[in-house]
Amino acid sequence: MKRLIASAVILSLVLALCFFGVRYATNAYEIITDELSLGEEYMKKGEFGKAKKHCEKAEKLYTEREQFMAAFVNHGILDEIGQTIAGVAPLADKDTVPEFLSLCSEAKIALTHLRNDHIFLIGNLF
Amino acid sequence: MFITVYRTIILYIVVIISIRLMGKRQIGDMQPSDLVITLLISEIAAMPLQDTDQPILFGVSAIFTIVLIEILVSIITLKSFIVRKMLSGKSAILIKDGKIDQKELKKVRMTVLDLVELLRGQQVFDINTVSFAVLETGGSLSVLLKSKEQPATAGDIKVQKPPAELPLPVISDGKILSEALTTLGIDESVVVVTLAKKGIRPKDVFLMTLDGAGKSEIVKKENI
Repeated sequence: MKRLIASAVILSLVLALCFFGVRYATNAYEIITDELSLGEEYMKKGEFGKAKKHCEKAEKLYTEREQFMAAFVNHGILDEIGQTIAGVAPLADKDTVPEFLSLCSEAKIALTHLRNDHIFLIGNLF
Repeated sequence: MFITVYRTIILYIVVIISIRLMGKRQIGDMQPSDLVITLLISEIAAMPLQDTDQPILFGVSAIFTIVLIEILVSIITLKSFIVRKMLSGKSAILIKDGKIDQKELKKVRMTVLDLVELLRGQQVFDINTVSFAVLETGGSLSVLLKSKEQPATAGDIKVQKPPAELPLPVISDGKILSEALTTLGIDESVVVVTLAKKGIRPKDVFLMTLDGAGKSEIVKKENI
């Protein structure tokens, strides 16, 4: 029984960390996606400076959270998303609106996948 | 490169904890389910080591989940005969009343040569001396010799023998093992006095065993 309790305690800690991971990834998805969406909106309105500012903020937020997310997300996936988000802000210019919107959308999709990978979905089980 | 070293240390600790949590049964007496668990743990532990892109938590959480399942299953098998039979199978009587059960042998997919080999492993070289042979769930063979082939015991020849005492190592490589002294219910001074009578210091002893009756065996250190 002692062994059962010890392993249950350890597994509970690991599961708690997993739940925390889900919350953290979901939270990161929400705040970074919000910033990218604002960037998109400003870009569509032609306010390139504001769009760039929001995209840079999204990049900063991602960089902060990426370090912790590396504990429970495949590092390769995190690097790819990071590169995509980092590529958005430099495109905030009147000549590169379609490219900006395309990359922004790509980054948001990648973030959605990041969140969904941690949610308990039937598809994730297989 | 350092990451691999750190990860190896962490996973080594995790695997050791896991094996300890599962108990000694895991190492000495492997049932089919134990073998599966051992293979799984080694594979899972290797994954984050080979691919540093994978978080170490993937491996750690999987290992501890397996350990919990294994402990739960072992508790269930203790309580339920059906589950035990499902997971570990049942022992097979291969020789019954001195006769090889060919049907049973076929059922466990063994040839008679395999049986002879297993018997030799049990120091039985003549199959005609065997009364019963049972293939245990762990894969080992238990053998009961025919009555006339069994060595005579003290009881058979009606000889009175003193009760058996378990000799415990009390000194190992010059160090007195207090745990063994506690088990034997004696004081450290008993060991020191026993050695002093023979003109030996504890630090010069490589191995000393002592039993409940006070019988000791001493192996002195060699100058290597």
